[in-house]
Amino acid sequence: MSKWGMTASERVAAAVGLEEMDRVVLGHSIDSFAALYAGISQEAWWFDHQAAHAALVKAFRDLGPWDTCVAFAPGHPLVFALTAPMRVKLPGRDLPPDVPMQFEELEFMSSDDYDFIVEHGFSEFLDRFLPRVGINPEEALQARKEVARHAREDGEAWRKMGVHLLCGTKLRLPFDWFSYARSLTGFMIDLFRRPEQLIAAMDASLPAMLGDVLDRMAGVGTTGVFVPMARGAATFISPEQFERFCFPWLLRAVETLVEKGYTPVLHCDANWTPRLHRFLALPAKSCILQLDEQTNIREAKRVLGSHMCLYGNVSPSLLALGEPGEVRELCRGLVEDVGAGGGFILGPACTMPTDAKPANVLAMTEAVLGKG
Amino acid sequence: MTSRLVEAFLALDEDQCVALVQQRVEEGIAVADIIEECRIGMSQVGGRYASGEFFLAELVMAAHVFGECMNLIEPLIEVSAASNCGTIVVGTVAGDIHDLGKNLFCSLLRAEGFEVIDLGVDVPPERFVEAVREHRAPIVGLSCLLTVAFDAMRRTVEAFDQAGMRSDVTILLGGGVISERVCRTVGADDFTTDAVEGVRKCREIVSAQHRTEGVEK
Repeated sequence: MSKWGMTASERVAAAVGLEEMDRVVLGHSIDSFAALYAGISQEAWWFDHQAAHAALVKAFRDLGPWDTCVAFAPGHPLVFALTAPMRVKLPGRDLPPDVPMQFEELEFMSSDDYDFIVEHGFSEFLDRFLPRVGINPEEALQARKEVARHAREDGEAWRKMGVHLLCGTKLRLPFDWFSYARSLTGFMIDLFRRPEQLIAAMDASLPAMLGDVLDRMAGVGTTGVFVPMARGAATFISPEQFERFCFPWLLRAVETLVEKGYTPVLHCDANWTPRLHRFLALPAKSCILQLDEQTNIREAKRVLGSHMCLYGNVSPSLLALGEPGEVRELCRGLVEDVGAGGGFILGPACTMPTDAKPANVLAMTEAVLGKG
Repeated sequence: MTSRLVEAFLALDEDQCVALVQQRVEEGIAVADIIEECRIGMSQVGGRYASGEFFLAELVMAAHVFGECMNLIEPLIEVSAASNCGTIVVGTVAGDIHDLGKNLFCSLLRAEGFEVIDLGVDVPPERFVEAVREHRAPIVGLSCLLTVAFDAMRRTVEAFDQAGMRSDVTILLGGGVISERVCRTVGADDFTTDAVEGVRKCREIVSAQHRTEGVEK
């Protein structure tokens, strides 16, 4: 019997709802770190679902327990490719077997494609687009089915271990989707050269993207939708560009997901500090804002503490190179400052680095649960 | 007084920049002077980025406009006209194929008048060493986005040590996950997470070297 009074799912729900809770949520957000830790290759991580799931379970048993994991083991090598409009380079296929998966961001979409999307719709465009990043649309369909099956089965397996699987699928919003498909340089130039074309294409795309996510979430058994955002950060664009090109679609998507009973997990890479106040316009007590170390999470607590659950943001370089004592101290500071009054999930900035020291991963656990 | 070309740069007005460069070429203005004007424009855009007035989008757009202007005058450039304030070898280290930050850094370096030897991505340590030796570059920039590439950075620094060249080259790390700790751990000289700051550091390194050389002479 746990000395804590809540189950992991109750704790996550209380964090999202900013309700009283027994302690902060532990969410180590581990992916390919588990492969290195459990001694399987990065290739096996992507191509052997059972081995990948077993690696995650081993990490959980040795270095946990944590309350929630953002995602489940890769169910198919195309799991990322389906929502990341880039060419995915996989270990064992495009890279040496022990190198982590990487994205190749090239200009896979031309500016003319914006008009095609407006005229023919995003779904028809996707059929044209996928082969450009080396994906057969039929194969993509198969991958989607497998991923949905793994989300259900793994979610259930994690539930039996007392872990709340946070997200069932991923929604990449039009701004980020096009920024990757056009490549950073091409897309940034589009913001200046063809703003109306871009806006029309984003308007035409969002309903299809949302519809697809709602389809995928049906029957998954969890309520979180992972929404990765980076290019709308203050690192990349001005406040005016954010208001014109990014925020309206974010707001529409979040409102739709929340209305349907889902919890958007806004995974914000890069620096969002200057625009934290804009998240006040999103539905209250309904989202999770996951931050990396470029955003000031204490400032986020000040601005959004009574509006939105925060998740983050232990430094990846500290996890990879630091010592357990330093990690424990950092985590305790976060728990004390950001966890005060609830609404906080302690986790790594972004995801656990593949080469994090296991002792540092354990130190995160110990910072919340105490030793042993 | 700010020239119309510099103003066009600050307005990120590509058509106007290209037209003004074309006009200067037709008027017979020295190519080196036109390049210098474009560089002042880029430098002021960089200044506005550093002060928080501009963002990466403006920087990328300005670098694109600068590239378009250079394309226009490149056929007219004689080697002697192109000012060169130093050579820098840049690459993403072995095991990492991310290059957006590196590419922007290279564009800004070129706009500042550096000669850039861009080795691309997934660059093994020995290629960095060979390139620095071949081009007699005083600075090498090692880029990465993945923490797993820290080891490749360390091995690259060691390769310079083993080649007996460590004291001849300043090793600058760049990338979103780089920190003081990473810099210390891999044995590099300095680091940056920001392309504009990286260029400023390169300028400072080269100026310091020039001062030292002046004293020695």
